[in-house]
Amino acid sequence: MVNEPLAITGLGCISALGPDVPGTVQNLLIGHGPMPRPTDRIPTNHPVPFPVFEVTDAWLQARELEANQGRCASFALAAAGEALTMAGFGVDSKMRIGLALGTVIGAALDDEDFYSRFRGAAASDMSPLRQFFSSPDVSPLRRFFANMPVTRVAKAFKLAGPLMTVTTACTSGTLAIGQAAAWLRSGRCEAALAGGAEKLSRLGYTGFASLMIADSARCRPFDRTRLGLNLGEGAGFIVLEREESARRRGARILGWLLGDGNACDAYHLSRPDPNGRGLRMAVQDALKRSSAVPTDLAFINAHGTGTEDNDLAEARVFAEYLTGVPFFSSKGLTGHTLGAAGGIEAVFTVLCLSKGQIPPSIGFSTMDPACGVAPVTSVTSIKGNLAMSTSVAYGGNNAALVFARGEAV
Amino acid sequence: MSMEMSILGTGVAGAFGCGWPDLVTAVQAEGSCSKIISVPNVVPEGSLSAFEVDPSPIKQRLKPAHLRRADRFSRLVTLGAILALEDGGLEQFSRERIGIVMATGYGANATSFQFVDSILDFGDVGASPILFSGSGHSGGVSVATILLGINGPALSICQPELAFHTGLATANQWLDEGRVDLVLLVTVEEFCPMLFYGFHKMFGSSPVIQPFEWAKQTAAPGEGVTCLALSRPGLQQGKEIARVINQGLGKPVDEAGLLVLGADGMACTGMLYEQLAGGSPVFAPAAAYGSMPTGIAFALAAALGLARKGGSPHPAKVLRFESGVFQPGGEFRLVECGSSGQAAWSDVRVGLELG
Repeated sequence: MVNEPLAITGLGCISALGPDVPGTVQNLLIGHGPMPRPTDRIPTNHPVPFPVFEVTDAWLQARELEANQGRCASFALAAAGEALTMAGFGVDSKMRIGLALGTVIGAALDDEDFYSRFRGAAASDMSPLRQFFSSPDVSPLRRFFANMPVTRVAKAFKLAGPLMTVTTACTSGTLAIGQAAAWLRSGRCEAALAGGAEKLSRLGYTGFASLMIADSARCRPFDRTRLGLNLGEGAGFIVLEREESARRRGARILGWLLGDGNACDAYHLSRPDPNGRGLRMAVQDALKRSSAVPTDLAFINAHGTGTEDNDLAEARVFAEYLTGVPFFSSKGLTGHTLGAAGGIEAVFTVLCLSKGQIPPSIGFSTMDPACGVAPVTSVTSIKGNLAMSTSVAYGGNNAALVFARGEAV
Repeated sequence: MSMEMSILGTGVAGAFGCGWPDLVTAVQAEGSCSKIISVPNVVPEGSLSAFEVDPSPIKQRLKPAHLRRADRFSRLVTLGAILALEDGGLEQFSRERIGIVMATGYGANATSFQFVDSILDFGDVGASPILFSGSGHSGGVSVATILLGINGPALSICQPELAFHTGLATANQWLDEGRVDLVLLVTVEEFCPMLFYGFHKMFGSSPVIQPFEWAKQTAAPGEGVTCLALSRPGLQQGKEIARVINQGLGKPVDEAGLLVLGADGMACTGMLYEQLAGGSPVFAPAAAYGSMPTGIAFALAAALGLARKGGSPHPAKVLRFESGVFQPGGEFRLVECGSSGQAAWSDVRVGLELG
């Protein structure tokens, strides 16, 4: 079944690479970005401090976002606001706008201090009455629910359409875009904001370190010497609507979403299928629904985390099925932003299509013979009007999106 | 888009037991399936009334080696999916043509906090990678796809309101777009000490859920799993138990005959349900399974179970009810509300050839 192409009329993005789309695009296109570094935000007694890609606080302060609404929600508000403004939607829009948001840490109560105090009170031998009055107040729980990114964004922009929080790990942002597209095609809303948001968290940091898939230097996606990922944070959203709606409103069509695919490896909880079975199915489905074939693709914005297993599985699919299509990973510029990755990389894909070039894959220098393919290593002009963004999740879910070039951004 | 979906199988496990017959037995009986759960040092009394599920029936269906790394949350998700496939006689369904949607309000918090325990107990370098693997809210659906060999699409939705109906809409879209021929829509909630603590501090815990005392706080926390096996009408495999004939977001504007409500003793939604109910007959069986964000899925399973078994629910679980309402060909409206005022609904017609 071929999807109806959907117009992309707004883009919003914040990451270590830049505070918004104008602040990001030039650095993205030439592959110039900050180095990851350890952060004071994540105190740790790990002997090896793993570097991360952190968003500069000043970028949030410049937007006058409320301090007590949570960092993940703040990123979501910043990027969502930019996308809606670019699309020409004000807070008082009469259109029914939905929101599909992918996140991992944003849906988890990661207040370690609160939990530690709860545990301390629970383990004490005080009398129940003394315990009750000394045990921690539950306002962190109330704040958690109030600050869930979907809740904050929907409230701030008075979104009246369906709301969804997708928590399928690293494919969350990509799947959120697919879900929003389905809403539009089925008439559940008239426009949709879709993408993801994520913040750096000590729990996520410690967790990925425990899996021994974090790199103590800048990550090297697809490189022979790659050792793992760097975590990142931020948010990325696109605004989708049907062509008829965009034309009627006189909105600029910055790009098109043609198709999406979603499939599972059913292989292992912490390793992808080495042959990329699920990714291949997702890619094939996305292309089929776009009425496209691999040779139509100008480039692939790969998931490319820098972990041994992910990059190998992805490379095999590129080598065997998407043969010859240039690809790059942007995670050497932003880190792995988990639930936000699909949203941020969707924005990057649209930008690259619009500008007609893709950046070098930062962190790569030497091809891995096991991968058999290498990403681009210099700024590359692209041929063609279609591009794909791929995502591979922890636990074996895989997703792919196909975009087409629109008007210049 | 076609709105109609066939329900070919239901899988449920909760405080009432395992399988829809156990749920129906609980719905037709007097009283509540809650029990007093000992939670020393978490609540002042040292215990509270709650609805606890036993996931051990999964062990009769999968080998211990396969379950070795599956945490309790993942076992619940997988159990629900297996029960629905069994109920529908769909065990041999092509795995590439099955998709799975998991909807939860609380998420995998038990495993998440166990991961934090490993950090607090053993330091950053002693954190458990196995617990981290299960701590994201996607772990449950990932494990289910691995244990059941499902290669189709998967989605995990974690939100405190309308998770069930949001997942139901996704299932409809996947079927409509031909991505799969069968969708397993799983809802799951799991206890953890933090949940008991927060629930007790914010809401207390009542020994008896009284959903029709609308503005009164009588909730008690529940956990468990449901699964609906959904397809397009006319699928060759399976027999239709019921059909979802329409869905909507927001409060329904037209009247329906019988309402099946997610009312579960929470005062913040009770008043919304009271307004929606108006003078209609209402079925709200939360005393069988407890108060939880996705409890509406249990209410649906209970309604379908009553239609399959025959008989009426216990009078305490209904309001303005006429006997024999749940029967082949009958229709009802399922309504779910959130404390923010959001609502969603679906109209369901019971299958004609139930046996």
